[in-house]
Amino acid sequence: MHKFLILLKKEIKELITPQLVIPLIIMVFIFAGIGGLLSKETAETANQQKIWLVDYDNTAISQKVIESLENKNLEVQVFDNEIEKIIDQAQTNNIKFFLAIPQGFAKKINSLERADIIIYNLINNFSFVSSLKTAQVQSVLAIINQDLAIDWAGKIDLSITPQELNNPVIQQEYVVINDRQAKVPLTAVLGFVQQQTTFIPIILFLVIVLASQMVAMAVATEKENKTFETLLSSPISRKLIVFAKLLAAGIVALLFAGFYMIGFNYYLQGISGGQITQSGAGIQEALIALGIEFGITSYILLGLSLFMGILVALAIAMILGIMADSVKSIQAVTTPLMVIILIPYFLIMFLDIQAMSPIIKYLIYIIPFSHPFLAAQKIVTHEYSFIIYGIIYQLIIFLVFVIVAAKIFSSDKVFTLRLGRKK
Amino acid sequence: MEKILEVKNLDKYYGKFQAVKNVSFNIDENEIFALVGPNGAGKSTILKTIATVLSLEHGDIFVAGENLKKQAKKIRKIMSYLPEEAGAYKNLTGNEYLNFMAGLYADNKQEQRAIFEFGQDLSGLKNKLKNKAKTYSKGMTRKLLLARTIMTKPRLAILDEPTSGLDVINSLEIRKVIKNLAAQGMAVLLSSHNMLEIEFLSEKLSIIDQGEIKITGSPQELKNKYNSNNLEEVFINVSGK
Repeated sequence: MHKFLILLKKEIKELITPQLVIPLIIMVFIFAGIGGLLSKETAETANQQKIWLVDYDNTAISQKVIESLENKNLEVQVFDNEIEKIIDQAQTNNIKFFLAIPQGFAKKINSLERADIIIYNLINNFSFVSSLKTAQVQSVLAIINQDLAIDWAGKIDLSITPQELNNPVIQQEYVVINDRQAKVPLTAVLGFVQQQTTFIPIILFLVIVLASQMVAMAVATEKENKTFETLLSSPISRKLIVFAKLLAAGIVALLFAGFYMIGFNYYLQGISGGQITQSGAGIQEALIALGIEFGITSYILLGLSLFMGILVALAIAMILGIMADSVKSIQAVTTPLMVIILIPYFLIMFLDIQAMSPIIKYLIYIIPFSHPFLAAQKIVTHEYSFIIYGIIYQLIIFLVFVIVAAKIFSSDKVFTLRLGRKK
Repeated sequence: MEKILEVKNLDKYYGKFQAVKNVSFNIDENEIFALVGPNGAGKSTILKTIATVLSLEHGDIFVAGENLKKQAKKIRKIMSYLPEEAGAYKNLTGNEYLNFMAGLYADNKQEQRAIFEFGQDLSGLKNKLKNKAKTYSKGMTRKLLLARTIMTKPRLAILDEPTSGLDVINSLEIRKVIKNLAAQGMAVLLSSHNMLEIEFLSEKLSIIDQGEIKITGSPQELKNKYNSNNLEEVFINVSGK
């Protein structure tokens, strides 16, 4: 037993190195930070106290709807001007949804007929937080339905079904993206977009991680095998060596990305049972009206953004590979890169970046890997200029790191550079 | 006889640590020159600097009359370097490795083919060249790498510890190849801490310790000077250890 403990102690000492512990501590802080932001955003969304309501009916019944909401401690802001102006105002004020009571609402309710209430969902991202709005809209409608149902209960009429009696209000939902709007449930749009784009960050993350480890491993293996010294003493430019390594890893990474995409496509078809293509004709039309289509331009831009993300990761990984003592230490040296990729991956997947404070928003934009993740969302909202600027930014970052890598390759640092300690 | 290598006042620093101190020596054509010294003496640093793997910051190096600071690429074509305990690309076969390296030195396909075929002959590995390098023993790998080093017919071959870690038979074979190199007109700069090997191979040597050349001469001259039976005794006398 004593000898076993000696062995165990040695094994643990070998495994727990600063390179392993420091990234782990950083990860704990990152997850705690993301969790904090997420709970704040969730609470804010869930407890949005301000409700915008457009009252085109302006009757005692519509007033009763407003009072019902106010009685539940909701701050109701009432409008009666043109819908386009209210949409503009709502977008400016970062309002996520508002209700509209159309003309004739009271007339229908008073005749014990179910009446429409229109919901405008204003969306600019497709994160996890966006889907929380659906629950909030439903709870507002439940308040209205409950009070109007009580009102109806006093006027018993056998022509009304119990279901209608419980829900005097018919929900008519609109989704607004930039200047386009369509009558479609928010859940249908979010479901479609998330099905189309959810796998992109996953693939991107996997490919970047894989490609980075590949190039770092290639450099570290060359150093460890001393094939590197042979290569550096041959009559070829060192810049050529850097580019060849980057391009080779980039090509292999793209191949991986292609295979992953094909695989995920089959997977999504499997879980959706072809729902995307077979969704109701009404929803299809609404999606087209909202401009949610993935045309060739979208795919080219997304592909470029992905490729640039991979190239940036490769350039950084190449420098990290130089810092590796041996092939065994690859995982440790590439951990900082993984952390930088994980931050935007989680933040963009769960949060509405647009609604975050400017400092956090721009910090996320500074991370080059944020842009492919964001591009997957921005192609839906047709914010092509954002994607193009992102690609240009990634290209600049890539060139900077390639120049740094080439400089390191051209100097003795290629042999002396180490992570965390001086030789 | 033309000087193939001239090293003048070479200093080399790693940060603040001076690994090489004012080293100067020359190698003539057809000559086998050895740098002898203990581990950490600076031998490999000198070889790597001459091989252009490390940068030349202080001092001058001329190869076949060309200044290394100005003509590094040109010099790399007429020089070849075998690092200590180097390996080959594990997933390439011996043939693929030789052909790949030939491609880096050749200006056209024909020249590449000629270099490659010469490399095949030099290696002596015959059919085993079809196997992946990861299946090779240490001796086979060293033979492959030595063939790679000299298949381009360099005017100067730089060999860092060429027989390090090899058994007697493989060491002898490698030494024979090196001896033949000089006979064919190549100059050889090698490093070793195996004094017997140096005595067998080299016509001239420098004993180096703590980055400094302590003495230079032929094995016989040094033995006579220090009244020693072998180079090990000379080394102990020179280094004072």
